[in-house]
Formats: sequence, C-alpha cells, structure tokens
Amino acid sequence: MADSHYKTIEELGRMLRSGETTPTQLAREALERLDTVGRELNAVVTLTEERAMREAENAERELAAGIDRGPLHGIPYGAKDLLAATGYPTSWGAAPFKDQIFDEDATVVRKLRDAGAVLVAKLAMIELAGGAGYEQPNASFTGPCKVPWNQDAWSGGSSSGSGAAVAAGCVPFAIGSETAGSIHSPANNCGTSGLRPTYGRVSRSGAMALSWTMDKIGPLARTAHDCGLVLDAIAGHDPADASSMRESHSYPAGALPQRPWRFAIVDGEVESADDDVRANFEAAVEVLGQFGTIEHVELPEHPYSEVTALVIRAEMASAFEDDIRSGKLRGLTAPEDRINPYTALAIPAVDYLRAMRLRGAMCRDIDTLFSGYDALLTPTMPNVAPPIDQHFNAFDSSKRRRTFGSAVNITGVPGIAVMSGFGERGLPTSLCISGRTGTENVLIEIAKAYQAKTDWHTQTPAI
Amino acid sequence: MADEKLVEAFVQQIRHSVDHEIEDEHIERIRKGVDDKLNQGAKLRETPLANGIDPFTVFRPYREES
Repeated sequence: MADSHYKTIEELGRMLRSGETTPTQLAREALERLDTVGRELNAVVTLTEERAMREAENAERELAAGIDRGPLHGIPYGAKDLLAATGYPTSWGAAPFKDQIFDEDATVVRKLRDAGAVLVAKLAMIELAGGAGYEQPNASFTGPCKVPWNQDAWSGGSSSGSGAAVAAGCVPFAIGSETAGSIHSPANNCGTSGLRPTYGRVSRSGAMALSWTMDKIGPLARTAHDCGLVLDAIAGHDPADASSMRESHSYPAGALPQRPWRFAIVDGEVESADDDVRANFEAAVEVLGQFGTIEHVELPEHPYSEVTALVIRAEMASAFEDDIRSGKLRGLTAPEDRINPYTALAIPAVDYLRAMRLRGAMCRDIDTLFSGYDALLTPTMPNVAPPIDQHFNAFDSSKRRRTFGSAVNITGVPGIAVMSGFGERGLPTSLCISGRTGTENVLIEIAKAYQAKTDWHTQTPAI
Repeated sequence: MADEKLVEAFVQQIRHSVDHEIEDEHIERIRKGVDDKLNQGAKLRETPLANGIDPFTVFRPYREES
C-alpha cells in the first residue's frame, strides 16, 4: 500500500479508485499518525477510532459495490472539537466542558458522513474558540498546539489542531471555524490552505456558538482545490440554522470571471507586516500579476476593530452567561480566560446595538469596494507563528494594523489563505485572497492559479 | 480612559451579579477590561447614526419549513 501522508484529497481519490489503497487503510494510517505525530504536536483531543473504522468499512463496501459518493468518499478527516459528533465528547477545547456529550452530529459532520468522508479525530482548539480573550498559546486543556515546521512555535488559533494536523500529514483535510481569524491564523502559522466561507454558507448547527452573527465554519487542506471540494460537501441551507444561506453552492463552479482578473492590494496591511512576510507577499503578487491587473485601495473608514470586539464579546457573554455567572469558566486553562469573561457582562445593550447599526454601513461600503475587483490581496497575518512559550505581547508589542481582518469578519465576506513561502525561524508565511460575498469559487480559482505556478503547498515538514 | 466612577460602578455590578465571590486579586484585570469595553463604546459613538438606521439583523416571524 502506498503511503498516504501529504497526499491531497484528489490524489487519495485516485488511489482509492485504482485500488492502490482502501478507505480502511487510509483510516488506519491517519489514526496511527494522529496518535503519534498528532499527539506530539498537541493537535488531538480524541481519536474517533471505532466510528472511523465503521465509516471506513461502509465506504469500502460501497466502493466495492460501485456506489461512489464523490470526491470525499473514503477520505479521512478531523473536526475541530467544537463540532458535535455522536459517541464522543465535544470539549470546546475547555476543561470545564471536556466530558460533554451531544446526541446528534453537527450538520457539517452529518454532511461529511453523507459525502462518504471518515471522521478520524476531534482536533484541538483554543478554549471556547478564543472567546474568553486568551493572550498566550497555552489556552487549551490539551496544551499549546505546535507548528509541524518548528515545534517551538504555536500553530495558531483557535482552530489550532486543524492547522497542525493537516500540515503534519495526519489528515488531508480538517474542519475549522472562524469568528475573527480562527481559520486563517492556523493556515498562516502552519502553511496550509484555509478557506473562510461567506457567513451563512455553512450551517452552524451543532457547532459551539461563540458569536452567532460572526461564526463561520470552513476547511483547512493542502490545496485550494481541496478546500473547494470540502466546501461543496458542507455548504447549503439548513433548517436548523436560520442564518444559513438559501442560495445553493457547488464546486467546481459554472461560469466564473475570466482572466485577466482585477486585483487590489489593501494599503496599510502590507506596510505593517514583518520584512519576511512582506517580501513573500510581494513575490506572490508578482505571480498573480501574470493573471491580471493590480491596483491599490484603501479600506473605507470605519471602527472595524471596535465593532468586531464589541459584537464578539457581547454575543459571547450571552452565549456563556450562565457559565460566567456560575463560575464554571474559572476552570479554564489560561489565567486571563478565567477573568476576562466577567467584563463582557458589563457591555451596555445600547453599545451592542450601536455596533450592529454601524455594521450595516460597513457591509455596504465593503461590498462597494470589493465589487470593483475579483479579489483583494493582503498578507494573511503580519508575522509568522509566535513562539509557543511567550505571551503574545512579548512577541509582538507593536500596534499592528489588523483592521482588514476585523473588516472581513464583521462583514462576513469570504477569504482563502495559501502558503506564500518561508519566513524567520523556518516558519511559513501566507497570502490572503479575499472577495465579495458569495465569491468563494472565484477566490478558489485564483488560489489554484497561484498554486499552479508555485510549489509552497507541496512542501512538507521534517516530522 | 473612561470615567473612573462609571468603571467602578460596572465593576461593582459584575461583582454583585455573579453567583460566587471574585477575589480581590482579579478585580484590577476586570477594571481594565471594563475600561476597554467602555472606550470601545465611546469610539462607536464618534460615528453619528440617524434615527432610522436599524441594527444589521433582521427579525423574521417564524413559520416552520415544510
């Protein structure tokens, strides 16, 4: 049997259909690597071995009988441990919740099962998806999650294990979630592709609610194409989630904007990045320049960061109000996470509503700006992964411009992160390609064109 | 820096609204957090809003999907 590590979904699909491997073989290989490499990285919460072998055997029987559920049939994957999966705890990365069990799969998990994918692990995450305001990597009851490229660095958050497990070749794809950076941060730090879908594209039913107007669920994988294959399986309206979009989504898409594409670089985002990140971004832009025109734009003036922070904190305080008042969150791992949530109880309702009223103007202005381009380009993060043992402020005390990340998350528009090279300490850097609401397929096509001209996404860590 | 008396009022509100005692050693962090939240609110009020601007969420009367 061929070694499945670091293969893409597409490659594994070919191997499955040619008889070179089987779903049970892939599941066993994934489980073994997660149990060794994955655990060494602190990327794993629970191996779902029994369920994995059951789903893999079923996928194998179906393939043998000529039943093919599509590109994910027989492919192993991991899910961030905020997605409910029957038969196993769903810890939300938090010690006070580590034994909680749900009796129904999250919609995403169910959709992946229906697509023939095989759940092999619940993956590590920052406690409560970072909603308690963590300030250091050690903010999960499973310990700080490490970067496969350099284990002295932090894999990012809050989808920490999803990024690390994909980058380490434990699984070809994983599901993460993003409220304000939680897919793109691990994609950046670990050097994977990571797709943040449009808000509402993927049902949140069965996922921990941090901020119900901002939470998005999406894939991390080796390639942009693989992200597209996964999104195709998990997207769609869900009666159990009133915020899920009614518009259908499919990948590959039909008609898309033709080249030359129109790109714009967001001023301020590049200048505030570290030298290594900036150099790799400029090289990436040069590659993309082969496919279209490149202009420069400025974000419309709005208090994006303040509105984002207020909305998340207020909705988090409501979602976890009983746990804050009862003292349950005093059992969280990071000392600051035990205290920070109290302050969210003191947000006046008028401040939350003012933030939500300002949000409308932001959404309209961002849409107007984005409508002039096929994609906006920025570094995914201004720096490579921080050290695993340092407070974030000790690593980066400068007042970085992080406005764009707030702007795209508060307005719910999609973005895809792809590796753009290596920076300091041998760590990956990343390019972010963002677009207008509903343009995931355009962004994937652009990212695919970039990955066709570069080989960063094919490189593997020595682990 | 938000008004100190207002910060203190919110800190006391938090202290009295939870079901357990918050240790004194944690109050300074809470005070700073409250100050940050009030400053964020003040920043939002720098942008004027006309009376007719609704919150960017829409209430829909419910009817179960068939």
